[in-house]
Amino acid sequence: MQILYAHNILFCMTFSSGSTYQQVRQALQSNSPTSLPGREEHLSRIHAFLHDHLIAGSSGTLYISGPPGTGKTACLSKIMELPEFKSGYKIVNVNCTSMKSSGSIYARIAQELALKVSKQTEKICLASIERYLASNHKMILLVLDEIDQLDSRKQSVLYTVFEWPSAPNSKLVLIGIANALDLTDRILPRLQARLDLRPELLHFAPYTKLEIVSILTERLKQSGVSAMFPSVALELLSGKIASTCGDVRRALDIGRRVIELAEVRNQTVPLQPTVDHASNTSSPRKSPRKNPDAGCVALKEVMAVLNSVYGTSQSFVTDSDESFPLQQKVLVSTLLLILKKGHNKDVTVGKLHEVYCRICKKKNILSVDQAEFISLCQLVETRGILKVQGRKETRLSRVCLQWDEEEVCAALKDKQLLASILNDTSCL
Amino acid sequence: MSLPCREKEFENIYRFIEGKILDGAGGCMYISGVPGTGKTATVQEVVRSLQEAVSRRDIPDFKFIELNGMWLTEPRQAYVQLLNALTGQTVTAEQAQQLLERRFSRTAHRRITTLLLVDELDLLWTRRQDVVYNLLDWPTKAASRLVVLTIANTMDLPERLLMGRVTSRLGLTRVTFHPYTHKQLQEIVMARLRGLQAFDPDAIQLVARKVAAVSGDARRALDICRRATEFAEGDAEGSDGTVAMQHVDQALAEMIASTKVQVIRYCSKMEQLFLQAVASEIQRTGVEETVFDKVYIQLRTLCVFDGYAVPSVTESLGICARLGSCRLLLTEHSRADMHQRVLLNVSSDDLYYALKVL
Repeated sequence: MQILYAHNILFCMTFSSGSTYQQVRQALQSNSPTSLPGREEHLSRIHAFLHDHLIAGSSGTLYISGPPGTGKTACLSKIMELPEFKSGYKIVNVNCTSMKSSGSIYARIAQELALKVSKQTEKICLASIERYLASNHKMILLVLDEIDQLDSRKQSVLYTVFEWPSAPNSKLVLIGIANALDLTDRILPRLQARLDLRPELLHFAPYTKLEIVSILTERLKQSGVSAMFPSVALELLSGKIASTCGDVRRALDIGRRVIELAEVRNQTVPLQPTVDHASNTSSPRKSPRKNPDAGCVALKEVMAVLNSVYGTSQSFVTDSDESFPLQQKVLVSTLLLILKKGHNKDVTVGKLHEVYCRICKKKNILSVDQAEFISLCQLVETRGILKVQGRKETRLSRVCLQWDEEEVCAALKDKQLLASILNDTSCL
Repeated sequence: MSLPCREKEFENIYRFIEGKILDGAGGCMYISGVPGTGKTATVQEVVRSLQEAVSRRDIPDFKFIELNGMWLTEPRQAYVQLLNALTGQTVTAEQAQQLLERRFSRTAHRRITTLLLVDELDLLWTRRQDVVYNLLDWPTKAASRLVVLTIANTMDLPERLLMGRVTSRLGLTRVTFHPYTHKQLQEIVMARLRGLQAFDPDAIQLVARKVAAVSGDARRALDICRRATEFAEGDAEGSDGTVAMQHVDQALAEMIASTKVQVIRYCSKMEQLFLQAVASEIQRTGVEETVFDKVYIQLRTLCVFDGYAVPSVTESLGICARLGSCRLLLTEHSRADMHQRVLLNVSSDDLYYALKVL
């Protein structure tokens, strides 16, 4: 009994009271936030749109576009939580990635509207939805997330859905969400022909630096751990994100990783997976709580994470220089040689292998045979350096270099070998 | 620990999952690396250590589910497998998806963290990428408590294959497993042989260097060592029974020897002459692709030179088809008859090498 009790206390101590780091990490989770700084205007526009249509009892269409991680779905779900709309509308919220094919959306909508259908076929479901829309019904709010997934050959599904609001007697507000700015103009040109079908557009621009800073500070302030992240570090992080993609998920992700890095730095006890933890109740996780100032994030940690993310694509350069096998180096150098000095830039695997064999013979390296060579090509391909196209006849498939020469040089870390191969055109 | 040289990666993954379990949060991690670098083994080891920690009551309990792209007949079966592992229900893919969606969006107080390992992520790729999207979208929901570890070979798979919105959800927590260097391979083999004096250390080094120069694949290195041991076993009567340099050499030679050279050597005389004719036609024109009738002219000349009876066109077509069926030549469909295009499927160096020795 005593032991059990002690265990319980230990349990509570370890799990419920998190360290400061844990609080910061939780603050930077990329799930839906409670407040959306920098999106007030969008929020009020969506609110006004829904409000007006609810009051007037009229139908309407809104198309929301914007790159990933700019708060489209978050804004909308926040507004749908409002009691005014929750009671006023019958809300149907569908994420279109969950559909098997574009046609099965009808069955899903019919199910959400609790319509009785005799069979789950596309035609019958569509007919019953249309019958429902024609009858006297409550206002419907139909939200289709990632609407570009409903793409079909003649766009019949998208056209049908976008035509519902203009059907007589229907009281349906349609909100579509996707990444493309011009989806409605590009794949649905016929909507422009009729004025009543034309959707209202709302674009979510990528977050600016200031907005990202305010989002992060807000989140940190809510958990009361804003001291952990100095404002300089926040500015650096936000500036970098804003200048590349403005994706807030990414900013939060990087923030979390910076915290993890800082935590590792402050943990004096190295992790030993097989060491028995049961005896020491004061786990290393808690020690930084005694002096919270020491644990805050340093600028160099932010830089380290940013460099690993936004550095060149070959992150393995940082590791030990021997991690690139010799034969693969020769292969890549051979490809460079053919592309730079050869007459025919159309390189097949067979041709590459022949030149490679000649170079190997010259350099006194044991060359591998064709079958092995093909698997070698595939190994290099997984690094993203080259691409083998046309898989049917491996000997005839083409090899394309995906990186430019400087990147390759940096990755090989063996200028001598590369130069000696490149200067020797007799092998061609 | 049974995984030498992967301590850093181990710690990285361990800390990630441990943090997520302690926080009660969800998240994704992408693990890449070429085959045989210990990706799956490391993750399994991490899970085992975490389960030990659970049994010591250091961290809350969690549920581990493993999915492998290779096990699934179709990407959408992933939903069925996942739901089955979670609740034991067996339903269709569509229903499974809906049930999972509902399960992960709804808050449940007594839910424990689910750790999902998706091996061979690239096999779950579909044109609409809905399966990958959903698997990576659930962890972002606050209530899901789902941690997804994804494994694939390609280093830049998220950028190359996946859409922007999927990459955005996958996040940037990535671990790359590099090919083993010869020192690491040596250490791995030594670790396996601890306590045994059966192997010559130099022999191990030779294997390690050979493998590290080509692929850095640990499975390969162990394979070669095993084969060398078999050779040593074969002539154990004479020597003291240890695996020495010559056994490793023998095993390596067996691995490296080209099967195609062997096949060419065992071809009939006429088939060899035909291959030679193709090669000289290629040399004459400088183009890799030739036509059968041109090759036939060469073949006739070669036969006359060597004093063989010239085979008829029909016979030569038969030879061509036989060589095509064992893939020494690549031939067009035989419907084209005399005008079918013919290509050599071995390097001409290999061909000359094989023919010269005769």
